[in-house]
Amino acid sequence: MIKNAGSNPDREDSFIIPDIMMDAMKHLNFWMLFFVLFIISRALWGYVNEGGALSFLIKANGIPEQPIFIIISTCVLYICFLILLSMEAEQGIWYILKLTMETYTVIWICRNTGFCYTGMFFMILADQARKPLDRWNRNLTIIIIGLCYFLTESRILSIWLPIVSLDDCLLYYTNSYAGIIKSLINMGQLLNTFLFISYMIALVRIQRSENARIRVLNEQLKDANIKLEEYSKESALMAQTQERNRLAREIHDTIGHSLTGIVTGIEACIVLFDKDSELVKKQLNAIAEVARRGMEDVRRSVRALKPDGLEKLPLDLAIENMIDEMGRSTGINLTYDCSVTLRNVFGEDEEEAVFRTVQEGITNSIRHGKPENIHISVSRKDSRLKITVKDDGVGCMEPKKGFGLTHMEERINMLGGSVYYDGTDGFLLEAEIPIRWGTEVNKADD
Amino acid sequence: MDVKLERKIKYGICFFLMFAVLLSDKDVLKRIPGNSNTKLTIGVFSDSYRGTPNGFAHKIINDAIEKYEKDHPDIEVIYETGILKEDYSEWLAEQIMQGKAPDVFFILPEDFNTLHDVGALENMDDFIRSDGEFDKDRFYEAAYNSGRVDESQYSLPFECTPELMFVNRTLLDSEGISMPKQDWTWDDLLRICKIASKDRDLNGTPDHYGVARYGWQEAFASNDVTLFNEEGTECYFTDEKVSDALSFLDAIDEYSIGNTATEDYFEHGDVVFQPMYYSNYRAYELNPIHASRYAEFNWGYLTMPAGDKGDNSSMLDTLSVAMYSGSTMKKEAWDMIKILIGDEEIQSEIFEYSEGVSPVKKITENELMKDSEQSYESVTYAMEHAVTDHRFYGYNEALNAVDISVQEILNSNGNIRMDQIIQSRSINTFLKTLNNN
Repeated sequence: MIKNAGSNPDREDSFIIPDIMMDAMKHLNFWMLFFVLFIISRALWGYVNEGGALSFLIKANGIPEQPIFIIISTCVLYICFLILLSMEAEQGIWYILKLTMETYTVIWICRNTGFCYTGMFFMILADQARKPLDRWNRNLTIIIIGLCYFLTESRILSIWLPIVSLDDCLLYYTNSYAGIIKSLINMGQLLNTFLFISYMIALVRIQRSENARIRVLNEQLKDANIKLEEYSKESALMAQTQERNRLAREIHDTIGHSLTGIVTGIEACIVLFDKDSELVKKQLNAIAEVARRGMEDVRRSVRALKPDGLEKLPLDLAIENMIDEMGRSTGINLTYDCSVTLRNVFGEDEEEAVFRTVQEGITNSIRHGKPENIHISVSRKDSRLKITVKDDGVGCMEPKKGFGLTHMEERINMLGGSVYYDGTDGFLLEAEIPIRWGTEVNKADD
Repeated sequence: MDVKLERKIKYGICFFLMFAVLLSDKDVLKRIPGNSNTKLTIGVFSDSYRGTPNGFAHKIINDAIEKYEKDHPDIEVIYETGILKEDYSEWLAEQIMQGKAPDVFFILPEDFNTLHDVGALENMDDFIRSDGEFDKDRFYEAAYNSGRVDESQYSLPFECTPELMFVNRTLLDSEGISMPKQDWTWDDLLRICKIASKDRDLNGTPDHYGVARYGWQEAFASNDVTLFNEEGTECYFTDEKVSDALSFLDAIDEYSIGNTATEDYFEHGDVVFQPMYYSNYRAYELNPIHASRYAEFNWGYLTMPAGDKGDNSSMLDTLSVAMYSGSTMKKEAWDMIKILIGDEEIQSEIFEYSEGVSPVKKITENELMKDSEQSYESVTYAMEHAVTDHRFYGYNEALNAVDISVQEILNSNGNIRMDQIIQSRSINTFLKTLNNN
């Protein structure tokens, strides 16, 4: 049995009324036993001490126990009974043992009182009624208790258990007193029955309110389910939007990058066309290379929307390759300075962010600043990776955030990093990314 | 604390307490303190069985105890002195209700059924069966059977006394009637009564009566009436023997004096016949003060007159000894009972210090040999042919019911057989309610 206590304070609170009823029954039964035993003991004492022993024996169908013994044994058994009632038993052998012991104790107590007071059976029933039992155990309880109750109440048991009946003892008292005593016992019996019925009604009411509570909870649960469904739809939409953004970013990053390189390269070719055809040829070869790579990028984007260069190469090589290609295709002098190990130390998202930041920084500089030199450096500052792209181009006083910059910012922000740019002296882009450093290895150790 | 362990401890406590209550209920606790095992208690009354102080109170019991303690030096036998016979039943009932009942006690015949019904008497069948020394054939059958209920022995006879017909010989001689023989019959009794009861002074009422205190129980005993079946569920009140007895009682009623406060009539010498217990005779014989009351006439005794279908059997009054069912010293109690009822020296003392007759055949016959031949024949015949009813639950109440019915039949002037059927119905209904309780 799982004890309810503590698991649900509301539920415990609602058991106050049945608990009071149960306590009242315990007290009532105790005092009724006390009263009946007093009546019996007083009568027995009187018979012995006032010369009525023989007339009592002629009427009685057995030798009565000693009054003091009856009282002590009843007290002991009643204590037993209360201990048994207070115990929790799981279904099965312990439950049946408990039930048997309780029934046995009550029958013995009833026997001590001459089977004139049987209120304790209701206490067993009341105790069982609050426990979650399966059908089999419940039926067993009702059959056992019911049978015993009827056997004792109808005094059939007194045939096999020789007892001193209350009626014999009542003959000791005068008729009017005997009548009062009998009606008091009946009143006790009725009061006990009334308490039992109130107890059961209280239990039924608790059960009902519990059911209502469960109904309300059920409805709340339904509402929550509907909301959850809406959320999941929304989040699917959001995912779609995110994916679209990502796609746009990819297109910008790959095709935009390549096209920028190609346009810049072709512009250079146009300038050079008349002066040095040999150089133009070389330049065009580089442009072709960029275009091919752009094409590959597009294919790859279509395939998996993932950068091929990064996929195939380690990060350091991918960056070096990219810088080399850009330098060759645009004719701009790119310098690269890296003071940290980039290979195999970052997560995939970090690698991508680093790569794209460098790529975007270069693309931006070439596109807007028309520089002659671009300096790229990657360094570590505390636990952050610092990427700087500095050019000597025209710069701009109020840099407008284009698509590329916005996306770069987004990407870095997602990793918890920050971006700084300054267009007063050429263009300076600084990005700091907090890195989950796996192993701290300096480039020198390589 | 671990919940399971706690529960086991609680179950253990409950089991222990219930066990303790059960054990103490079966008087087991009484056995634990060893001191009670060396004291055997006996319930006995101080004056003689017939209620006449004879100065030998406790003489027999003291001798028996002395004998017992010689065989069992580790056991002390105690009894309470000063309880009169008239208080004895109440005293015993009080002791039983207080849980202080003696291990061995004497039972008056009228208490036997009550004590058996409440379960105070131990069934002694096992002791009798397993004890090789005990021989039930040593006892008069009727005396022995007085302690039987449903084929089981609950008490054993200590002292008994048969009912005999006492005769005012002076009155008989004055009418010129000879003393009847031992095998006389109802017809003889009726014939003598007719002659003896006469209104000599012609004042309208007879000044001599034929018989006093001759009741239905005497008549039924003499006519071999079996009144109840063994279980006490049925009364054979419509039996022909019963109707014969009732007719006889009706016939003799004219010559008999009422059944209340009648002893005076015989003492005064106004009645020819009166049934009396043999012990009364012996009490008077032993006690000169009493004997002087009968000094004005000669008297003797006879067997009871035989009915048409019976013989000269009479009723037997038996003082018996029983063992308390809750006794913790049953083995010792049985040895004590054996000495009380079976030891020849102790039983012989009955003739010396009491008024009854020993239930042991050999002793009684030896003692009676010393008396006259007639008394020997009468008493031994009465002892051998005494009637004992089957006792059952509610026997006393059933006898009361029969008594009421007989009185009604005798008081009414109707047809006896018709009345018998009517009364039989009411008795049997009463028995049914008695058994249903």
